[in-house]
Amino acid sequence: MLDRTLAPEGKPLHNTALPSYHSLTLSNGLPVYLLPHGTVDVVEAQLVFRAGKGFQPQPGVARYTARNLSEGTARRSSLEIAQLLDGYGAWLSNEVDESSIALKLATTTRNLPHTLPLLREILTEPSFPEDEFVKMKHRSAQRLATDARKTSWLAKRLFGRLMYGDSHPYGVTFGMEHLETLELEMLREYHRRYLHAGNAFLTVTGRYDEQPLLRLLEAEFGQLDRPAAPGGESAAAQAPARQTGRHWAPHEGMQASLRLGHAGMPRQHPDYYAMTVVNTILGGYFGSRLMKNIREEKGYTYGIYSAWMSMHHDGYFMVQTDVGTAYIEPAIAEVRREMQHLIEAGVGTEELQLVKNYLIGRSVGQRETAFQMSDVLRYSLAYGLPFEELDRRFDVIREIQPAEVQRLAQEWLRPDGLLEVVAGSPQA
Amino acid sequence: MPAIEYHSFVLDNGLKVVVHEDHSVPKAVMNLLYKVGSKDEEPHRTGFAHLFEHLMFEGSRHIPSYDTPLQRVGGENNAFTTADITNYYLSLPSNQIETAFWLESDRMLELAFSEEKLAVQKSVVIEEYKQRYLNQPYGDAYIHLRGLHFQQHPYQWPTIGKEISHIESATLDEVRDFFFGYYAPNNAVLVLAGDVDPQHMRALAEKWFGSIPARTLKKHPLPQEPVQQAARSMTVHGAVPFPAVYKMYHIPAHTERGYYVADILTDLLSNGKSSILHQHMVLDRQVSPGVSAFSWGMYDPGIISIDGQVSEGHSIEAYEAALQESFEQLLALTGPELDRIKGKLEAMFIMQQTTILNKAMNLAMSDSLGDIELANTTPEIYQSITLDEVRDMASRILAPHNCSTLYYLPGEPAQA
Repeated sequence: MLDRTLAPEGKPLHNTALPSYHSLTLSNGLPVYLLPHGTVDVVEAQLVFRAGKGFQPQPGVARYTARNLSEGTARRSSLEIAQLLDGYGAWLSNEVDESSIALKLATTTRNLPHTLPLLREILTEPSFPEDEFVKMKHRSAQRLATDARKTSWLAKRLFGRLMYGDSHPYGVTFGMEHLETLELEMLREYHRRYLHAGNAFLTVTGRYDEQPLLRLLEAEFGQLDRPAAPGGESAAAQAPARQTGRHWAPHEGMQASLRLGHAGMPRQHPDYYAMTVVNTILGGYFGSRLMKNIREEKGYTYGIYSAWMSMHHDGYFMVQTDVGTAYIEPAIAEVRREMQHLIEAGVGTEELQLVKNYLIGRSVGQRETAFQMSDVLRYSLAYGLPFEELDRRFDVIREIQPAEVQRLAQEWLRPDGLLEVVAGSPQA
Repeated sequence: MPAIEYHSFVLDNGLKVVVHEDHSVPKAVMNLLYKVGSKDEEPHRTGFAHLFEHLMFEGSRHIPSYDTPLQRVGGENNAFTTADITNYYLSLPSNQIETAFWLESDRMLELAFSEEKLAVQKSVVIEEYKQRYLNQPYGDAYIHLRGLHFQQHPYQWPTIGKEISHIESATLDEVRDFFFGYYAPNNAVLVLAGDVDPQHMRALAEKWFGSIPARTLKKHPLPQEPVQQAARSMTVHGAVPFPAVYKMYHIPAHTERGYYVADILTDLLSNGKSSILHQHMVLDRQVSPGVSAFSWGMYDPGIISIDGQVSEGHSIEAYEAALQESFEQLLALTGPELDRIKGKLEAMFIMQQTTILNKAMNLAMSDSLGDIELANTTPEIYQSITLDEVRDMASRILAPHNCSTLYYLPGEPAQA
């Protein structure tokens, strides 16, 4: 007779090591990194520049420059570029963070020879048509006006401003005042200065034959001029101007968005990986203490999460949730109580073991597809964190003990020094 | 495109089991689909299938917590409810797959029902309702429009529930009835995918699911929606910055070829920068900052919708005129335009196959539609669609008498 009360025997957990990539340079010196991965014939190429929100004359310039590259080139209109991509089943996109801009091409391997030249074309021959830019600005203005009606957007914006100050790249949320002063000439200048082969590296991840790929890369990117990189220090290196205490973003809705947090640590801090374990216990997964207490016991919210955000120059801790307006004060009190409880009582071995297994087990799924690995590779290269360093995370997770969790909670969590941002109204 | 290969068999209690091997990473996925959705609800008790999905995570007959043992072996899970189905999925390291069988079979056997758990999950779902639908600009537009568009079929209410009071008044007896009426091996499809062995999966399926009795299902025939004869419209006011226009059109059932033709219409209309609505309404006429056409994927005769804000300085009449002009462009579609969208769709199918979870869901959904081979033949169906079929479908379904419209305007909401 089957005993359904007994769990099947647990098996040892293995994290998958990151696969190895190799590097080479094209004849003009452009660094290239190749990572074979996956079982489906798809490829992602990324051109990555040292640029982004920490290197721009005003908010929005980096992002709008990246977006406008595919709005027209010397040879093709925006529509023609889009039609070409559709026919080949390929996608161009971009990501902009504080110290990098990535232009991404996702394509079937079969069509890479037809689509990679387009990635080169939008880099070297963008025409920045006035018409497309003006229309894009109009659309953005209307979107921003809509965003400004959402509690989540209001809370995010105010939290960033108070956590970092008005001009820090980690704190600024692009808004109407930035859009109004954005000019096409800024984008042209930004492209000239930052988006060229002298300030870039190239990655290719997925399934491909190496020799034809290398010929293709050399033909498209190996002959490009490589002017000197602009260099300079990211504006994110400036000291944040932080505030704490309660701040309201008024909104007459039936729910409020809460963002609670305080200072954290930069990504290179030796305690970073261990602190992600502490954060997971508190609010980093569905079985977390915040979720169990505030959703599963109290029913105040549909969901509550905390994040230990560590960027290149700085980091912060943030709890986010949406609650009915009647639950604003009880929810904030419970968050503070859970932080205090972790500081005072630490964690038991069983709960810690569960979190360790959860973190190691899910790593397999985070390294499954070529698109996931393409982003891991970019992150590793852009931030100077080798794969071995990224994998060190799992050693830290395996080894951490309850005493270390409590020590870190005591050192880093500040339940009495929270910045509390509430987008909503005190009582509906 | 490589085929998704699978083995399938049916247990004595009626449970269909499907196994797909992919040993590229040491990960396994279990996807368990129950053929019950919000269309199976009573009109005065809507939102029930979804509320029930929440309760499925609150412990089962022999296991007090669902999530904890799964997380302990490095797994994670989620679920979603639609008008037609409720789908549970979990992924975990492949050497821990038996834990998935243990957890899922116990909650198919029987849930641990309690008043306390029901009360908390009602509150969670009510907050979800507010967060996703009531506290967002335009968030409740489709809740209103479904009620206008369907007058008989249960698609008239949203999966989250027609109104919060329906969720508030659900009782424990109703929860129990719902479970035994729909959560049964003979009303489910179980897919195992990833780094798994078919013989081993068969043995585990027998061991954990084999002893669960088949149940008498509560399935009842659904009222069919009469053919719409005339255009319908309604207006709502709310805290929104600009007017917006929402339109729904009736389309054929998922089991008909016409479903796929209607689906490709939405791609032609709004999938990407080259699409007709973006080019005509957003860029040429500039009557909207963004228009999207969406295919809802319903199993019975269902919906495609088109929605967009009206640009500042433009009228609703100008928006609707430009939409009509876009439809005329669709009727004049050329071969190269259709071929381009087919190229894009083919690549999308290939990219979806990069994850084990996508393949598992695809198999489960296809089987629940009545033909598991759809997991492999669907891309071919799209490639075989002709220009004449597209034009014919566009002229039939994008007609005013097949459409319901909601105008969402800035202003004080009317008192109910």
